[in-house]
Amino acid sequence: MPLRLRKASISTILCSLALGFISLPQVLAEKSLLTLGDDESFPGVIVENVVIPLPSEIFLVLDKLGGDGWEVNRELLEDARVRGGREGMALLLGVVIAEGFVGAQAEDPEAIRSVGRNVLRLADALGLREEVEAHCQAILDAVDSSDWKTIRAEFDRAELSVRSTMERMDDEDLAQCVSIGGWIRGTGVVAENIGKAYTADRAELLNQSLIIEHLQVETDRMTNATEGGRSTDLLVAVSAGLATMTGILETANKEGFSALRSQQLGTVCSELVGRIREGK
Amino acid sequence: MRSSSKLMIQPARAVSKLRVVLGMGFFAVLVFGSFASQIAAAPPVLAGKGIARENARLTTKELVDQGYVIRGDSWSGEALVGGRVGIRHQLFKGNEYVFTLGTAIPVEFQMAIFTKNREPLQGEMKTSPETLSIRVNPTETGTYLIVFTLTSETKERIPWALVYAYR
Repeated sequence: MPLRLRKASISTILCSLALGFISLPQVLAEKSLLTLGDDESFPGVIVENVVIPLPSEIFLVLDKLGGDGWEVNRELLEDARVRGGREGMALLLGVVIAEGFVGAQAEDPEAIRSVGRNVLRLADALGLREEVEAHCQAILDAVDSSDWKTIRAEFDRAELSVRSTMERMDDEDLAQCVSIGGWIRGTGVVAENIGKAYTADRAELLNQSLIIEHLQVETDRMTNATEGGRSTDLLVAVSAGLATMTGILETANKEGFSALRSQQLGTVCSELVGRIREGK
Repeated sequence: MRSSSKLMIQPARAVSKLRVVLGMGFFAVLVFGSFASQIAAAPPVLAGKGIARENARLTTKELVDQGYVIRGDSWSGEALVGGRVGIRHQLFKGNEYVFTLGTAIPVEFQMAIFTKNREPLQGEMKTSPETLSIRVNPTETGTYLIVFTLTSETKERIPWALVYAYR
């Protein structure tokens, strides 16, 4: 009887598999058959969209390499006022959200609450309060239970909601500004942290030429599209800062990274954050 | 009386108005019906990408329990059958990544991640009819090229979405 049952079960499973009722995931350890030739050109379509890494993605590696000393820039949070044009506000919103990731890394509840308030204020000024309200509430709830993982996820979602809404409203440039502001602040914090306890492994995290190149192209395109004024001045400053960073990275790739070069990158980011705070 | 006659509609007029209303209604049905059939006949690109993203997200959901963070950002598009699609992406040495490619229909997948020296990263792949996941540990921090092809016998253009998680 058991043998019959076993036979019946096996035949049922085989039939189900044949009919496609059960689709078991397969684990394939073998190498992919796809290869790239020696030719530099790509035989296909390259997707232009570049996903900018979150600060927490890099903080995670620094933590594994023995990083600490995360400090929130309280001055920035106290002074994150609505100034400048819409591009300036979007850049500042990106900076403030990045500060939220720093706050989560530092496990600083007061900083997170302050970031939440600033995100709401800036989103309100940009007409996007509704998009971030639920995320800010979720962040504040998570602060009460010290759920830092949820806080990081909600900052990611808040930024994505803002950018998606901007893109739906044909404000792709503003969405880019949020990404640019966030990346500048995140990279500044990483560079400062690496500079404090320098190792080659930690410094390698700053090797982000694809991201810098992409942000530079986007910033220059926006600068050409704006018609003068404070936003243009700010975008020109951001572009110049990114160009300086490209130069530092090129030298580092030729001669090697050093604590000094990490600090130089940190200084450029810090100066840019200062300009974004001033809104001009 | 005059005022009330203004409010009354003569039977003949009423019939003609009814005809007009019915005619307009018929016209509206024709127009909207035509639009509706066009919408139904049009390739559901957006819906396809949405389903592809949902399939990819559902597959990555189980990674949360393994300590992965799933990024809200993703890529999506439409691929020609057998055509190569490349996505440049920044990876950080020290993190482990899982990229999940989703489609709206069952397809055959090929996917690899290449270093700047055009060498494929070794990884573990997991497939189902509508998703393929690849788990990799980057050997250095920098730009990588994610390349994939999709094959189907029923469709020429396949909506896809790529999501990723890290830990």
